[in-house]
Amino acid sequence: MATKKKINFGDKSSLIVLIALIILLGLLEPAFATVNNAINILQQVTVVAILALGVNIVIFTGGIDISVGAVVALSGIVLGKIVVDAGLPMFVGIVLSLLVALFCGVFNGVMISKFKLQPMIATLAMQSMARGLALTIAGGKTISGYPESFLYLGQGNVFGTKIPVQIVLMIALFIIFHFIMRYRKFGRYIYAIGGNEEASRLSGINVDRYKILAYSISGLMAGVTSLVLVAKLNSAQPVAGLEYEMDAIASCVIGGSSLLGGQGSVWGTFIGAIIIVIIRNGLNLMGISSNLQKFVIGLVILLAVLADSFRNRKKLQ
Amino acid sequence: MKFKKIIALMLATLMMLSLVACGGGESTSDDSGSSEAEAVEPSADSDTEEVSSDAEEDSSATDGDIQIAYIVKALTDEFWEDMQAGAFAYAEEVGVEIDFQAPPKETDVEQQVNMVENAVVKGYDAIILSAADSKALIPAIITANEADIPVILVNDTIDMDELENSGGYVETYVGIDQYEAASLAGKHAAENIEDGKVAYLEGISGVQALQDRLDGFKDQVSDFEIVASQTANNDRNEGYNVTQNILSANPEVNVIWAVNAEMGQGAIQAIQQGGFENIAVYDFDAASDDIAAVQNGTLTGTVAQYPELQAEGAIQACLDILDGKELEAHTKTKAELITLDNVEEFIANKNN
Amino acid sequence: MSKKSKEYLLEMNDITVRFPGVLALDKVHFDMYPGEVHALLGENGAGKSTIMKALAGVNRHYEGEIIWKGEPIKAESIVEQNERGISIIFQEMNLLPNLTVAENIFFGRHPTDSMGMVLWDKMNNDARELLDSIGTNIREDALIKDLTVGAMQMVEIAKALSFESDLVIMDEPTSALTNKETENLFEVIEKLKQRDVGIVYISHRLEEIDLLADRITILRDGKYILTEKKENLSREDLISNMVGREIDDFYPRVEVEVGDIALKVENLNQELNGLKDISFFARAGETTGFYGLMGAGRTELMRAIYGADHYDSGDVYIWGEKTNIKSCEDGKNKGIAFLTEDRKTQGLILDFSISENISITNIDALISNFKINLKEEKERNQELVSKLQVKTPSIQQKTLNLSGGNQQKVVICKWLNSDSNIFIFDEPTRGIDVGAKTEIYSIINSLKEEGNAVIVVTSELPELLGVSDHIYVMSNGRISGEFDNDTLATANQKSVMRYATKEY
Repeated sequence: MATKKKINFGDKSSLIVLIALIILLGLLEPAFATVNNAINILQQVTVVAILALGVNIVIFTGGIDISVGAVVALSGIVLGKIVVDAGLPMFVGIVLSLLVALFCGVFNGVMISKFKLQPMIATLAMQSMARGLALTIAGGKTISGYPESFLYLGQGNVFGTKIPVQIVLMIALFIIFHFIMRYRKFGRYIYAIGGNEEASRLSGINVDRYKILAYSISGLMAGVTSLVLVAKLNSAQPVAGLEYEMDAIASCVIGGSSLLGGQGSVWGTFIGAIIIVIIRNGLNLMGISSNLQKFVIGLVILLAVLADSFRNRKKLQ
Repeated sequence: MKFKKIIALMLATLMMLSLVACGGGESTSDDSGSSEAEAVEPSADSDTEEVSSDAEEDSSATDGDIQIAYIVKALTDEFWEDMQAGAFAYAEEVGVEIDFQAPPKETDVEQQVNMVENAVVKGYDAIILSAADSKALIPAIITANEADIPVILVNDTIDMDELENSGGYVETYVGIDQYEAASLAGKHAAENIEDGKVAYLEGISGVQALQDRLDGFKDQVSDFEIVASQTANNDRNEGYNVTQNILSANPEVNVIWAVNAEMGQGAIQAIQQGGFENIAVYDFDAASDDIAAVQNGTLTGTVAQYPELQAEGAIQACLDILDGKELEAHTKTKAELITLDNVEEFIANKNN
Repeated sequence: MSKKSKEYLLEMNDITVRFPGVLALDKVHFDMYPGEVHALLGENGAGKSTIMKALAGVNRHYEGEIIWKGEPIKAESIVEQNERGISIIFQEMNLLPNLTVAENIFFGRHPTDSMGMVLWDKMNNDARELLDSIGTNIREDALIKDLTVGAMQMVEIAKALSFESDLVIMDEPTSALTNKETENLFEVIEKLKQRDVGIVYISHRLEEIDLLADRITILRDGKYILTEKKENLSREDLISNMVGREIDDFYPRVEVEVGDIALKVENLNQELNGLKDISFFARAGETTGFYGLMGAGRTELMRAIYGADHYDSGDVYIWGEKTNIKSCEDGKNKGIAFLTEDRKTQGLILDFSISENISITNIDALISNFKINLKEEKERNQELVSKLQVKTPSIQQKTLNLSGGNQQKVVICKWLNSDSNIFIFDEPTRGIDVGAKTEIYSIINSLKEEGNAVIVVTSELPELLGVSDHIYVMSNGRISGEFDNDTLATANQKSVMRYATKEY
């Protein structure tokens, strides 16, 4: 049917943009189309992509989470405090820092579903609280010095290969999320809530529970992102993750997720994240000012959203 | 309608409470400061013993103490933490009260402007300022001038020509000469590296000090080939990504100059993880990560600018001005390049 | 005729309005004298609002002739009609909640000075005068959102008057008013009459018609029935003319052996929607019909039972067991299926395919090995879709693109897919063509035959009488009448309507 083509157009358009970018940059910059650079790009995308993965779930429900960047900083600092400053085992640090991130997400979810706060406002508050806590706990200091075994997560390669562990982690997470969103009740319900919250509720879906879950996952993914980031840089900084939420949201939107909810895919978001990183990477390689990078990324977001709104308009006709 | 009023009332109460709380905190810290100061350095009081005993009697009163607003760019990294510690230590030593403030992050220029304006309204005896922007703070400084509150710049200077043209002035700038300090690193690079191919990690644009650091290094290595010059916005992860990208396009790079420590650390991570060798990285600040990196050889040199000394200098400058002394336009403090040769010495000094 | 027509304030002749697939008005006549109250009566969907919307310029796609003060006009827009002196007070309020009363009254017509600056004092004073003239003490600077619904209605009236209208259309103006406010309104209407303003008064409340109307026009199924002076019509005449038609054999009702009581409600109260002391039961193997005029509280009652809204007190028993349903999830788990009145906003996820919409009520049944079995999903849903004869090329089609009747069938499929045994259908045939209606009735019958309890909420009397084995009538949030086994034979359009118009 003609309609089916329209539905998939969004995902395809981001893929087309990606391919066009790769061809263009490959022609313009010899260093771009190399295996090493490809690995670099995937390595640089892990942080944004894992973060976007969580935010995407929230966006599917028609919500938004702008607290994730700050939560990355907070859970990183918690990790540093526990492992480096308090000298407790790595395992304890990882579990507690993930719990802190999860808690931030649960808190967002409860505020939004039970107390009916607008997602933007609730997560804005969380953004400020988490950032403030991170700065306070850290006392403004960077915390470094982690065990080698942990740094492996952000710096090591899968043994015997040149494939970084963080890339494997990222791809594994994407496969798991793809499975959940496509083959699990959770995924169906999340899309349903984003598509029509009232109809979902009247169909017997516990909307509040699933919304809280969505925000919790977003928080948890911020925690995972934080682990990768700390391991990559061997340091946790209270100013880490500044404005990362914007990159994450942009990834989702470029990848075809609608901020109205109910639309988009896990793989679309992956492509969106790669597009953002590729633009930065390519312009870096060509030695073009990063101020211009911002402009270009803004432009791509705009085009993606325009495509989204055209699709919606067609749908209404 | 009623509900709104109640909310407004609650907010107002909350604000009052927080003001009271802040005020309380200040007066206690300043009590201890003043009594100790008088006990340690009675000679600092030029008045007779009678007066000083008077002062001791009503030591709970805050008037008579010198109150200084110490406004920096942020408290988000070690440099400012160290400066804060140095400032408090020296303030206690000389018996002044300082109120140390900073916006949440270095790019919150507007908030810093507000802080200066608030300090003028509150009527401090002097304002020490580390400007987050080389131009944006000028109106706030003029406001302080009009209120006859002396302004001392520390660590970060501003666009002096424009300040003068706008009719404002500062008493002095206390700090290292950013350009000269950066030259130390540049000179080291020029002397030790042949056939240099350099990549620059620029800082947040619009900050004079960062620009001076860039120029200071650049001018010493004029025969090096500039392979890339990119900003990484003073951020570690961005420093990492940008370095990684630069190195893929230009693997021949053998010198990197990062104008702050965060970007320098990001660059080191990218180099190590990319398996590159023989790249001399220089950065600025001598944060503890930097010192460790110098020790293990991943960082060739880092410029130490001794934030504690700057704080001491700034507070002393306030006292001098209030005593009616004239100061030089630039009160220079010590800057030093820390390399493998002097790193142990540096650590030893710092621990003292 | 020609002599008389000069006196008319308004004449509407042969007004026809078509909606997609429906003839909403069929050559309807309506006229007005200056200074009279003319009541417009008819069942839900008779076309009362439709003709008035045409007159007020809300819907300009009408055919026919409108003569205003002797001149033929074309009603193109609300603004134009306002300027001519025709204003309408909408059933659904049209005020902006965050603006003041005065701003709402003069919205889009703020008095300004030569610089284009709003003259706030003048505007507030003018508003004050208007509000005083209708005897209300609502403050002109109050925000709309802080007012009661009754006060908003008064603001709507003041707004209508601000156009210095010669004709004011009031569509169910008292449905949200308290008794005191209703009295106020009647006084205002009296004053308007003295100023020679004509009032079109649409209401279901026959007492009000008795009190106010000078003449009455009755519509039925989009057709003009009659216009008479009030004195010439008894209440019996009114009702029989409103309902009119005979029941045909359109409803293939089947008799099934009646089973246990599936749902019993005792003394349910809900202040929010004014539900008072509601008790009823519904048995397996029976269709229990609920009738009521607009605003009687039928949908609200069903929502409360299903768990979509909270109720304040009362007991609900399901299959004899007392239950405490707190959410829709509870309601569904207790075996209730709730087919909402509004398919598009409450029944379907329009972006989902037919198949996905059907699965949503029972995904657990499709899960094997930790994943939704997409193949099984397709087969199962295809079977349902074929059984209910949903017309679609594929079950992967988005429900957005289906016709109303097919959308309704998908909603039914969705609930057949659940493990429910109490089916609440809220307006199951609204906006559906005749063919699909019959199909839906036969689905209701087969549900009955399978031993489920079926509740049908409807605004259509023939439908009510045609499908129900047991009837409850609601009015003003209460059960105002019941027809059970013994009395069902006495249920006809008149007797039901009498209960439905009962005043509390």
